[in-house]
Amino acid sequence: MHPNFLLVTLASAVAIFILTGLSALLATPRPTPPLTVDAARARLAQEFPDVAVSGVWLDPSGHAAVARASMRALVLFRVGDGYVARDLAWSALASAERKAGQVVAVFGDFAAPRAVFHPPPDAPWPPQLLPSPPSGDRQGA
Amino acid sequence: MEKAPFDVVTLATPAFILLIILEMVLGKLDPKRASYEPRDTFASLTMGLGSQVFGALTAGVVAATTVAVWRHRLFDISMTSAVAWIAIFFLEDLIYYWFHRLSHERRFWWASHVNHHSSQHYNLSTALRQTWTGGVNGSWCLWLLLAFLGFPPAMIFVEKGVSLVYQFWIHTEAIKRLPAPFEAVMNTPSHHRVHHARNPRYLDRNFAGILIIWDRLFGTFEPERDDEPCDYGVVKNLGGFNVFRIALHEWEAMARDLLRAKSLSEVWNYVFGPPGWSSDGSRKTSKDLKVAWQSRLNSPAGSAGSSP
Ligand SMILES: [Zn+2]
Ligand SMILES: [Zn+2]
Repeated sequence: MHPNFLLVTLASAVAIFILTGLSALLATPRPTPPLTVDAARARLAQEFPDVAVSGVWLDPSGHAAVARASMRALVLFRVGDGYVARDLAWSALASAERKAGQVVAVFGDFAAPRAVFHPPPDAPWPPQLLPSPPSGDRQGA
Repeated sequence: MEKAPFDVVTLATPAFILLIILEMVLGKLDPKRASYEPRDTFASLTMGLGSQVFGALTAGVVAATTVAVWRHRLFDISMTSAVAWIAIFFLEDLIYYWFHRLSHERRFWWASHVNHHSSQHYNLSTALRQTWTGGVNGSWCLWLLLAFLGFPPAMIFVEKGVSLVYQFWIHTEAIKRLPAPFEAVMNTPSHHRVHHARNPRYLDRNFAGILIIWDRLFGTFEPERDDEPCDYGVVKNLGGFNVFRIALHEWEAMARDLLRAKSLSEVWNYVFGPPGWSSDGSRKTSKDLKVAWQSRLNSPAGSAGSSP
């Protein structure tokens, strides 16, 4: 081991905090406007290219979307300035409890454990999906 | 000579930091040329630091084994020979190509390497998003071949450092294309962007370290296309920035699969099969994804079809 290993490690840790602070200060993430139905459909088509989606629901935050494909729920959720997609059984999503205004979808995946939704208090759960347009109008990603 | 006279990566670290700051400033001036997300940046840099720390834990074993193999070398190669440096430049880079290809095509090594690909960003901090578990997966044994040939261990460690330092600057969107002769021979930002992309066309392509010639030679080269921008990340992107999840998620998934395996053949495939292999075919390997993409291209009627 390098004799100055501890010193180099400490200096690196300080550099990490300075660089992270600078990246926050300079604020150069990608623009991530709230999802629209079209944007959600386009992203879902990219993530699940061979899957026919029957309807889409947008979270009021604009940071998540749910779509149904037969007995599966396709979930899109924002992480940082990007989006991540997972799927789970529709029944599992439907039975997720609403707590403190939130519904948590659990994926059983160490790499992406859960997505959080904020449905309006008076809205039903599972959410009511906006139906897909006729297949001729469907846009691929 | 058994001990490296200097550590190339440690020497280059101040330049890494300066270049990252410059790229951030460039991103502020022209957002199309660089983007940084603070949590993503923190995760990448912490992975880099962790890689140094965990690497140090196994460095002794790696060094001792390299020296032991070198003591049984075929030839005596001098560190002062220019020809020897030229030879190790090509040979080390060839070994890197096969190490990197193995790290993508077999899950046991992908489990260590996947973290380097787990960012949805492609900037200089991504270069430092390095493995924590590379020391324990044995991939370093590939470089023992150089010691067996007779290259002094110090020479091998210096050349490995040179390769790592070279690969730092290519992790950027700020440089579009370099002059054609350079792009033809060297690994460049454009070639390595393709390597970090999850578009089916780009999956498992451009494994080069310094020279792109190996990809051209072994049929894994894919040029970046202006009509298909790179979508960075992995096939199933990570749902957060927790560095422990980044470092260990594929190992956890492998352990879970092994607990469910019903035969020795399944055990073998879950460990040494291609990433994405599953006994029931419910998941997709890179090859499967490419075939599906190709068939969608060939049937313009539309992509939507079956249930997941
Ligand atoms: Zn790679
Ligand atoms: Zn890379």
